[in-house]
Amino acid sequence: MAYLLECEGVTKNFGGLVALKDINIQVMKGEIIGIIGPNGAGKTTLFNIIAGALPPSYGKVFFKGQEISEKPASEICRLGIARTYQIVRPFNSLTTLENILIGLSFGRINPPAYKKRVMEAMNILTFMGLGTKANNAAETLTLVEKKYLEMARAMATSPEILLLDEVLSGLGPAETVRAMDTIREIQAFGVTVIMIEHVLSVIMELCHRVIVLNYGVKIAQGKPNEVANNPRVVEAYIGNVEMGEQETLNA
Amino acid sequence: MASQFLQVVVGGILLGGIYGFAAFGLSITFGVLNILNLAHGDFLMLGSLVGYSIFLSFGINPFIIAIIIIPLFVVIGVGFYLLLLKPISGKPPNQLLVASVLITLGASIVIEDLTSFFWAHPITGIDYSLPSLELYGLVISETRLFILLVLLILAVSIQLYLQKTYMGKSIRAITQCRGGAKLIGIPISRISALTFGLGVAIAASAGVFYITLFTVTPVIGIPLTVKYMCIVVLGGLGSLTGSVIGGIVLGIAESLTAYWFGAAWSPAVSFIVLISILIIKPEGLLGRQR
Amino acid sequence: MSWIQRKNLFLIAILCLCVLAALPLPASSYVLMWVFLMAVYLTLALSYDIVGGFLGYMNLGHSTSFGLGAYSTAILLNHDFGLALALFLAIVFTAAFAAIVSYPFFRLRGAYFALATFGLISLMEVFATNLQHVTGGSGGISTPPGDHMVPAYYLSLVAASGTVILSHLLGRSRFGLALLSIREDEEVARSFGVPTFSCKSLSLVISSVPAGLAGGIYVWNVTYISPPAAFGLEIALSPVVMAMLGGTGITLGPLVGAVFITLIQELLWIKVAYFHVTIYGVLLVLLGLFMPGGILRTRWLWPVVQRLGFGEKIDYFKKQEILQR
Repeated sequence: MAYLLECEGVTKNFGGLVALKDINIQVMKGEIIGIIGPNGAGKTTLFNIIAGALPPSYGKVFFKGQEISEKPASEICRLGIARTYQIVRPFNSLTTLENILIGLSFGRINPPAYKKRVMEAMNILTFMGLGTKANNAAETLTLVEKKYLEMARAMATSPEILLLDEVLSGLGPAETVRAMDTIREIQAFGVTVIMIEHVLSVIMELCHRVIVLNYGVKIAQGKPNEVANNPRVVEAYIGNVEMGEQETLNA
Repeated sequence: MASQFLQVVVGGILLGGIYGFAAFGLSITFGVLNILNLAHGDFLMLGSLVGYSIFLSFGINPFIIAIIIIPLFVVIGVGFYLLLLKPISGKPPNQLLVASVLITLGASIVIEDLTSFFWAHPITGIDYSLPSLELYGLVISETRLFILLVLLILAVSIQLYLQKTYMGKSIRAITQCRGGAKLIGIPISRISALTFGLGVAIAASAGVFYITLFTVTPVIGIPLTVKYMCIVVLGGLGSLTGSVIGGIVLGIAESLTAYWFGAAWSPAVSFIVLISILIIKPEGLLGRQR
Repeated sequence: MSWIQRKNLFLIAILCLCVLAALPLPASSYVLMWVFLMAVYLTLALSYDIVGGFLGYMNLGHSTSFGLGAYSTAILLNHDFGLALALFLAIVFTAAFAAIVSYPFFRLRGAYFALATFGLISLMEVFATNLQHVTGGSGGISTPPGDHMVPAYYLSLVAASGTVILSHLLGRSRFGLALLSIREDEEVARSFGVPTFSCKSLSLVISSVPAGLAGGIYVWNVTYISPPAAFGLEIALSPVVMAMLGGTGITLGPLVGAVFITLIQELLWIKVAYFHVTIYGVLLVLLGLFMPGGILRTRWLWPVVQRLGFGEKIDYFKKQEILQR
């Protein structure tokens, strides 16, 4: 199939709440896709479904033509989809190196041989700028370092698709630039990146395409500047005057 | 034959009602504090023994004792919480689990051992039952019906309490969404203390009824707590109706087992029920555990 | 640095083992029995820690494996099975039981799991007391008499040392890493490919083997087993307390804990013989309040533990040092 990842009519209900309704998405290899939308729009739920943490209530997810809708998360990871978490969840008492090793040893279909594992893990850590922190417990890292750890751990599984869930939130301007560079480098390795973000300037700069969700429904999709000027998107973010929601679309 | 069977079933319902009641106490404790009180069954046991002592000393009607006991054990429960549980309440979930298991298990052991020691004084041993039959001399079933009635009244009052009062609503709020409850100003720490006291008092009160029907020994604590846990699993966290229904199911199962296979096997029942549920419907459990 | 200190510790361990191995000659059977029991408890504590410490699931029902091992061995010995075969079959039975039990029980988490496994012991006790034709009921079973003290003594030392090695190797292995990741965050572990269910199940089976073996050796030596001995509170909790006191998830933990517990026991036994159980309870409470991580995790001792190279961190960093040279 032409598409690397495809969501077909994905719907998710939690009891009476419709979190996602009839989502159709197609992702090509090598793209950087942004997913934006107000809070509660269902973005993380979508990630959860793609990554296998939750099954869809209706609809299907296809990865490289194969249906993965009902597969368990561990299998999907091995197939090549890795994710980070919006609120960082490192393995706290374990060292940074060990965190990576878990992704390395279990997240791949063909994990490297015993002796090579540490070396490769160190490579990944160094790439992410965490080389000096290899033997520190994950809980001692700063928030920024933890975010990089999340990415590193996901990259350790040598994924074809990387799901980044608000990885840039909480980063200052310099750190944001550095993170963006890292994401570009990741994409240069051949990884397809799908990122949920609120920092719209980043989305505009990095992403080839943007998908906008609101209240569980896809309301727009296309190139960044097309989407930014879409009146429905503007309304979704700025909201009605009475509600008083404000969010700037300009960097 | 049929009437005997019916007797057994009724006995089971009664037993189950008592279980369900006490299990509810455990359920709200867990819902609010996120700590499973392994010593919960011991409080039922203590309630029984205290109730018995009061009965022996003052000869008061056991049903009144059950009511008197509530405030007493609320105080004990609050004290227990403040002394032993509050210090660890702030810890992250991993540590909280280990710490709470250690503390409540340790407390359970201490309670049971000390009770065995002090109640061994009458050399005849520690088994006895409350001869309330002598109060209502006529027909055994009358006592039981009465207990059922009282339990029903208590259940309704608790349900009302939960629905109408501030405390009750706070308990439900915290159980459903801790963060949100904090945000709207519910004093979690204070409510936790009171909830623990309440949960424990409900168990103790149930204990008074328990002893009117069955013998009590100091070591029934842990098996009881296991049963309560099974009931909470069956009936769902925080739900009184759930606990009562779960309790009744268990109670009937236990009664029937004792009737058909002999009393020695009835401790096994709660376990087998639990394992069966876990095999058949694991999602029901996992969904509630948060 | 840590090399040298590790070598030292290793040498001390070898020395201790030599002393222990030579002990039967001068020592009385009271002393031998004491060491024997210590070794049994240590085996139990270390094997408990595989699930309780590495995996993070408090399997309070660990002594079920001990009891099952003991009873199976006793029954087989009474049917004229040789010791080796009896022990082997007993272990197989215990491991199979653990495998089966893991299916329902690992659907529980946290305190539910702890309580349910603890309740399992009572259930086993009920079975043991009631299945009289098999288990001899509340009277227990006696196995063919004989003085097995010395060989049992050595067996127990082998079992204990073997379990130490098992625990150590597990801590350094990929499987051990998986268990630790499940302990830290099971859902995340799963999303990174760790096969959580099979890991949990396997860890329970692995931990049941030393425990079952210990039970078998115990009954062979003592030539008697009864429900309270196999499934009682003492055998259920002492290993757990040792592991928790010393520090869970660390190989050295149960060893440290065992030392402390025996010290406390010896001290208290002289003073108060009655409240033994209560003291355990109080100890548990104090542990939970002040040192839930165990001695080895108490802050001011941490640097010492690190320097000894026995921190709970896996040894990969040592490999890395090699790489960086």
